[in-house]
Amino acid sequence: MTDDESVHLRVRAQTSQQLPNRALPPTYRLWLPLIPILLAALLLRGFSFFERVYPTGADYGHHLLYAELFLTQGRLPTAVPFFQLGTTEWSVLPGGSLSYALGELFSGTPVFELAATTLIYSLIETTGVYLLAWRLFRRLDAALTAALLIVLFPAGVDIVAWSGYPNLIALAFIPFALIAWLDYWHAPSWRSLLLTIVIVVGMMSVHHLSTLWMGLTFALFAALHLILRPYSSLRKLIPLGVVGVIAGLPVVLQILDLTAITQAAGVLLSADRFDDSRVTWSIWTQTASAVSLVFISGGVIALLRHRVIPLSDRLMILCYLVVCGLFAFGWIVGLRFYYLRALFFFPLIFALGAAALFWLWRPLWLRSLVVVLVITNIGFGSLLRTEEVNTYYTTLTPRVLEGVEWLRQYSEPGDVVVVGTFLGFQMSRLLNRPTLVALTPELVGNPQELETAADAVAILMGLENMDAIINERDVRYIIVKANAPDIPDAARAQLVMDANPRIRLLYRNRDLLIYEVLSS
Amino acid sequence: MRPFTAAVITTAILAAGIVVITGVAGSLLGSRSAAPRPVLSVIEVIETDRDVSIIVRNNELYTASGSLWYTLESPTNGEVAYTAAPVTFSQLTPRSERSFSLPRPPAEIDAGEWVLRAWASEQIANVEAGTFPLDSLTQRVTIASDAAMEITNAALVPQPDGYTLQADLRFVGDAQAERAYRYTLSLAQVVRDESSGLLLPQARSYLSDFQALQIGPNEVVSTDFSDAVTLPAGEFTLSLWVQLANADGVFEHYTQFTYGEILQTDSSGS
Repeated sequence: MTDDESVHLRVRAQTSQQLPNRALPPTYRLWLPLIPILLAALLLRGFSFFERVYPTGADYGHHLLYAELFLTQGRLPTAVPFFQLGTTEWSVLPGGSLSYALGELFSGTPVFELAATTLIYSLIETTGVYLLAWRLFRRLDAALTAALLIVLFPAGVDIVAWSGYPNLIALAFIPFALIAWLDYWHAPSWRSLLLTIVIVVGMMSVHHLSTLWMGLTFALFAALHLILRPYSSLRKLIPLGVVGVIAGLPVVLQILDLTAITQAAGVLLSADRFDDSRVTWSIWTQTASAVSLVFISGGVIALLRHRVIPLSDRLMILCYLVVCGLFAFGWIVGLRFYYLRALFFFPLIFALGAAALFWLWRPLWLRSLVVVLVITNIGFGSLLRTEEVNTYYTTLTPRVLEGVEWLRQYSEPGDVVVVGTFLGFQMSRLLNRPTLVALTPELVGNPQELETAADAVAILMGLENMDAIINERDVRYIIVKANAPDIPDAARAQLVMDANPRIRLLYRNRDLLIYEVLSS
Repeated sequence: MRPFTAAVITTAILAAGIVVITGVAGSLLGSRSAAPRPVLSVIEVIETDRDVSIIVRNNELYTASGSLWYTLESPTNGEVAYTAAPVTFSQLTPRSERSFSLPRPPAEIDAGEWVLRAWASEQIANVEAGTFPLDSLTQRVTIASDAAMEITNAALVPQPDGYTLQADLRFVGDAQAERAYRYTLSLAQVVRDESSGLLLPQARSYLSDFQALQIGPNEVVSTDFSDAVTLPAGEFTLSLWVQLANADGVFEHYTQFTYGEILQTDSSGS
């Protein structure tokens, strides 16, 4: 037994004497209170699936297309068909999409009808945070508070609404990865080693940014321990590294491939297109709620000074927080990143910080009052945000599908179609025509798309090279959303199309406009 | 320090710090709301003796084209007295700035305080400029009384048989080349409208012969004018009209300057 473990047990023993209610509750007492919180997660995040005819968000068009292609081709797909004229490669890790493919294989339900199964991951995430908080604090009230907060933070609602499914799936497994790693660290055994490898490698196969996040967190954790206790740390890290690389070799190869495709190193150090995505106070309050500042300051300090929690556990939380801060405010140290994305990783810290902070209020009535007030505040904020973001991210409607189907029948298979960001990710599968999708540079993750995306932006925004690009790319049709929002701005795109003598309106309904480019 | 104390104190300090900083300097992490932003922003306007320099920034991540111009507005009622001819440009690369030089306001603009507002508009294919939000930057400027052609002093000197119009004239040559001009002076009687208090011009009472003038680049010529005039009793405005010889040697209107003071005659002046 190592020194820190013995200290940990001693402190636990002492605290157990001081706080009798900290004794491990019977299993049903641990799980029963979680049920209403899981139901809340289903209701709040399910809004995106239950309220609309089709799930909101553009990205699921590609996430699920990947799964469909895998099932059709019998292997991992390489190029994205039709998207950006079919010239770009998939720059995603396969884990998330393959889970949907498995769903189709087992249920026989088409993969695009399985989007709502994403809600399962919300339940997994909530359970993971609950168990992580329980592991850290050994208190039911702290665990329940953390779990409820992770459900209520607006970030979860946001991520479902724009259909960032792989990110959500990876986030769901992060608490389990942390628990497994810490379990192994405190009591190394072959069983805990294998469990850690399975969970960490599985989590890392889902979403490239989340993989980067946890890779850096674990690396930082390992480095700190190598400084503090080199010998005992090496004894734990060497088996973890060796088995991890062997078991995770397919994932490692995928990550290397993805790094090459996306030119990740160059993007992180030199791309300047993400500057506009810097975190603003407005975005922070919308995504993370204003009160989270209290949790990330006082709450985190309370957590890090919480002597009942073993030092290694606190260091792990600190490492995760440092990585979150590094990517959220990376421009300060010259790191180039889509900074807003970092806000989706913070809630885990907020939830744990809040649990640590609330625990300090000794009188039960005061603690209960503070918790109820905070949860009411965040909860109402999220409820309002839910309707707002789901309306914003609604892309597919029956009228959109009707218009797209009309164009599919009217056009020829090789006709090039220009479309904006919101519908662009859906057209690959719905239209089966080569598309130029207008993505502004900060939205482009794969640098292979930069040129074609910029050409589509130039056409929809009416830039001076608009006609030259139409000729060069042999564009035949242009799809414009009839209503905001879209990227580029839908109203401007309509004005540009109406003003161009070479372009005529071919089809319109209340949600969609289709223009034809006349032969010059 | 106990964890509770540390946490509470830290939270209090942070909360107080945020309130203080945001109260004094705006929000802590950037703007409170995402303000709509024009594609092109006017960053700076510099008015000099030679030109009006406007610096424009492309805020977007695509190469933009556009046009820019400026207006002179009255500082009292905002009325636009002059709009400069737009300058168009292209290939302004993402997030870059470029400086443009526009001609100064013409000599007709009265000397004094003006609000100079520089405008920038993105050029959208086939769409009229200004359809989408423009950006502008205003700056108070003083247009000095160094008009290219002006009357610096004038008087009607009574004579036994009328008046002598005496005027000191100042001409500044074109910056590019030596040019041929001719000028004339006119007097127009004005009557004061009792209800509005405005001076309303009436028929012209006097027009001098044209005087020829040859001025080199940036040359300043001062000359005295004197002529006998016969005028009725009343109030008069004095104007200087200047014509410039074009490439064919034909004189065309170049500029006009009205002296800032009213000249008076009385009934005994004849």
